[in-house]
Amino acid sequence: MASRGGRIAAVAWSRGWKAIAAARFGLAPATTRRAATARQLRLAFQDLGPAWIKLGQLISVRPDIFPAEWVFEMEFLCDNVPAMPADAIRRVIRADFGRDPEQLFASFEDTPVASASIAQVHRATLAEEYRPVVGDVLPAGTPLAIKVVRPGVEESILADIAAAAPAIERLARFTALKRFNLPALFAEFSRTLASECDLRNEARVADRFAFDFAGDPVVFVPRIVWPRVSRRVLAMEFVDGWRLSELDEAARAGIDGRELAVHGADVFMRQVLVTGRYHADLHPANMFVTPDGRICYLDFGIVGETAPEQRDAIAQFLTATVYGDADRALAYSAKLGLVVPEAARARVRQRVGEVMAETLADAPRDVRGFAIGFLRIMNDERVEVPMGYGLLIKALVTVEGVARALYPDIDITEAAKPFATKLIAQQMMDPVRLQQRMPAAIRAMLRELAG
Amino acid sequence: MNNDDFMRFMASWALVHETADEGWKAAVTRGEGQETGGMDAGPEAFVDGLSAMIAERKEQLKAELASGGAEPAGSRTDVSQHLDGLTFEVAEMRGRLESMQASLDALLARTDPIADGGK
Repeated sequence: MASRGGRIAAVAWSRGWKAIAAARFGLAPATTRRAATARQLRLAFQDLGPAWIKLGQLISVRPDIFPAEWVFEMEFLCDNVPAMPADAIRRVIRADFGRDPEQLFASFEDTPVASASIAQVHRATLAEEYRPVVGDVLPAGTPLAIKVVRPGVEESILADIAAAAPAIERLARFTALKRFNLPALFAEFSRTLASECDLRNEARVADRFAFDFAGDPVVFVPRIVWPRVSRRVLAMEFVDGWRLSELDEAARAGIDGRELAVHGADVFMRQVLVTGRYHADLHPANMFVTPDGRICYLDFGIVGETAPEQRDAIAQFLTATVYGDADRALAYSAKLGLVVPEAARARVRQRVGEVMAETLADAPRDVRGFAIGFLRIMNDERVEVPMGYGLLIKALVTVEGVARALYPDIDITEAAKPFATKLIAQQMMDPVRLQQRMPAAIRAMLRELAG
Repeated sequence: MNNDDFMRFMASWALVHETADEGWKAAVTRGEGQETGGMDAGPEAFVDGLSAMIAERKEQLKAELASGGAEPAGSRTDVSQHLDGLTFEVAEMRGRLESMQASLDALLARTDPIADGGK
């Protein structure tokens, strides 16, 4: 553990110096300093391996705690690691099912198709027909993707956490870092990792998502083969298709990127505003475009939830954002737990208005620019951003990024408009409001008729 | 009243008044012709856009009526949704049981030789 501690210290020292040099020893403008720190931090996490890559991924979905530059830099974390030997993977399968892969599947390929910090994926074929939780029966011979947690990964992560714990304790004492609440963050990190290492959680969320969108012909979620699912093994339908980085090929095959981008944005709005569960870790590696033109969603490791009363407030916030109304955006943010102190309210309102004018006034609107600006204002003004709120903003920005990969000119706020419009119309028809407004409306009508 | 109820109500109203209101029809035509973002152009444009959305829902309602699938809210549709939800929960439970059974079988396979050896 001492050598691991030494390695962590060496990487921190080396990357720290590089960040200082890139920031010209503090003489560079603030934006350059912040960007340089974020970049070196991300590279340090990559140098240090699985636990740190996961920590970076956790930071990438916590704009409520970390500076916006860190959050968005962590999107570029590279989670490709060398594959484990097939023997090690076979041992995991044998330990969890008591049988060799050839006894569990009609075929099993030793060469992995993907290898990341927590798990790697092998191809196999289904031995006998299976009725999944959602969707049609999978016939025998269906191609499968077998995701297997890398042996020893949990232990290695725990060892890294233990090695980092003393440093975290020391760092937590610094006043400047107090608001990050590092001990609580580490506790959450451990919980998140434990959940990600148990693939049954991912399988459950995938089924739920498939059920929520069962009526949508464009959304595709691989079906889970539960008798071949354990804590460390997940068997699901194999999906062939194009990654978002291979869309030129998809376009050549006649896939309409614009239509998919618009539909993808609409699906996200439905997740947030209708079903109340949303994929909070959408990045290009977690999505495919299938040859029949559907959007395939993978990796349901991080899922956000919205309660019914929050959904109304979120829709109102989105409406306010779409129509550039800073007052309304802040009023509904307060209902979501983001409360601006009275003393700072006028200043914050003015700054939010300015960011809206810069980023959202002209089409295509820049949601990412707005989010970074908005979160920076909250950070500058020391306004606490609730976790769910931060996760949602980050997810919205990610959806914009994904949608723009499909169709660069898309304006995802357009996807929010039908929801926002229905909401406004619904409020216009609210019986209480009608009762309040009706006398004045009748008086106005009578005046019109009389005059 | 939720969003869907509201849109269904407005669509029903539009369906019943379809032939009576030329102004409505004109608003729908204008709304359908709007470019992306056209609803931002002011109250008139907003109403036109909303009219087009209601008209779209109306056409869906008309198709449902034609196919005999339309029902008043709170009747068979609600039951069907509830049934779908329950079916999913049962299937979800079955999936988890299948996974647990597989783990149990693996454990039993591992312990059987020990038990046999002890005999």
